[in-house]
Amino acid sequence: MSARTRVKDAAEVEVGGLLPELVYSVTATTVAQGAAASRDWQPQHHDYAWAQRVGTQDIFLNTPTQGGWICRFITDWSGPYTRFGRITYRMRSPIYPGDNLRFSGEVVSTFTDEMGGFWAALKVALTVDGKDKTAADVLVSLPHRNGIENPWSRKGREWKVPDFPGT
Amino acid sequence: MARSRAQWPTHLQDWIGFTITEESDYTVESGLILNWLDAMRDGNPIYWNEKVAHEVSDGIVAPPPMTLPFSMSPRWSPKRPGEIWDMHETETDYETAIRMPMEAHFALKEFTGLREGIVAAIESEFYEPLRLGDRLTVASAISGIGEERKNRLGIGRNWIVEVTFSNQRGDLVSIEKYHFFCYNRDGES
Repeated sequence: MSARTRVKDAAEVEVGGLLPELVYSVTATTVAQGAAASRDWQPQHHDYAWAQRVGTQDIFLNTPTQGGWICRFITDWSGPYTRFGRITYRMRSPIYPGDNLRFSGEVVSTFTDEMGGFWAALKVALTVDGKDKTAADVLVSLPHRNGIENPWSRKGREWKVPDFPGT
Repeated sequence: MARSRAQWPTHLQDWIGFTITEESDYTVESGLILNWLDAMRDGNPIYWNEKVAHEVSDGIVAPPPMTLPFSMSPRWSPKRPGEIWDMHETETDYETAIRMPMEAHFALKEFTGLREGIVAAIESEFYEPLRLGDRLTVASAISGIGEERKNRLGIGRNWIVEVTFSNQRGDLVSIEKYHFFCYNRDGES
């Protein structure tokens, strides 16, 4: 493992802890490239004339692309041992070219499951100029006990995806 | 499997549980993963670095949301040359292709005559990771339909499409629940 690769261990994760913010200037290329990478050829993600005709101001980011950016935002913080269990997205309004997209996140709870796996529940917000665009709840499993317990080592029935805490 | 319109339910309430199952045309491969990492500027090494991936995740895995591109029906395929997924509705010489992983949703839109649709929320659960060489089988099912209602977009219904992805070994890979509102704008019928 490269010395530059960040590994977030359970001992470093505290409830209330904030993830480092990520800001990205969305362009038409961002939107079209995400749509192409997700093989999503629905015209609202690449065809400006279509978008205008159906009443949106421009082409906009599709949901898988937003999911990809959210995963990247989290693993930039927590590293490659992170294993995703759940993501719930709620899309409030479209993300367009020209938007200065800000990702922020907070650890809202942590717990250990019956198999000994460590989990962190995160709230992630995608905003533009302070306005909510997409909100996500994310459940990730992280290594603990100084890296001895690796979430990726849980195979088959050893990998159980818990509900979000409080649901 | 219920691919053809002849197999569609004839009453709205019978659509709950209606399922279309299809094997993906694609295998999980590094080219599309690299395109994805390029699009998201994602440097997580388990998606591309064989040495690190071997150490961490027992080999290269795909980012979890990539179940969608690895199961998306092509617009056109040499396997079904007479069919196309024509989003612009201009290519009239073709039959309509199956549109996975959302075929159950598109079928219900056609059945109800509701032309527009938005996704309000998606719930995803992740189980076995996507590994190089995997081929997904997708089950697209209607799991709930709401009453007709009117909002600022128009008149329509909420419904939930539950998509289950499995690999070629029969392992559950992920479950995604899409919460749609499908509608016609005011003045449309």
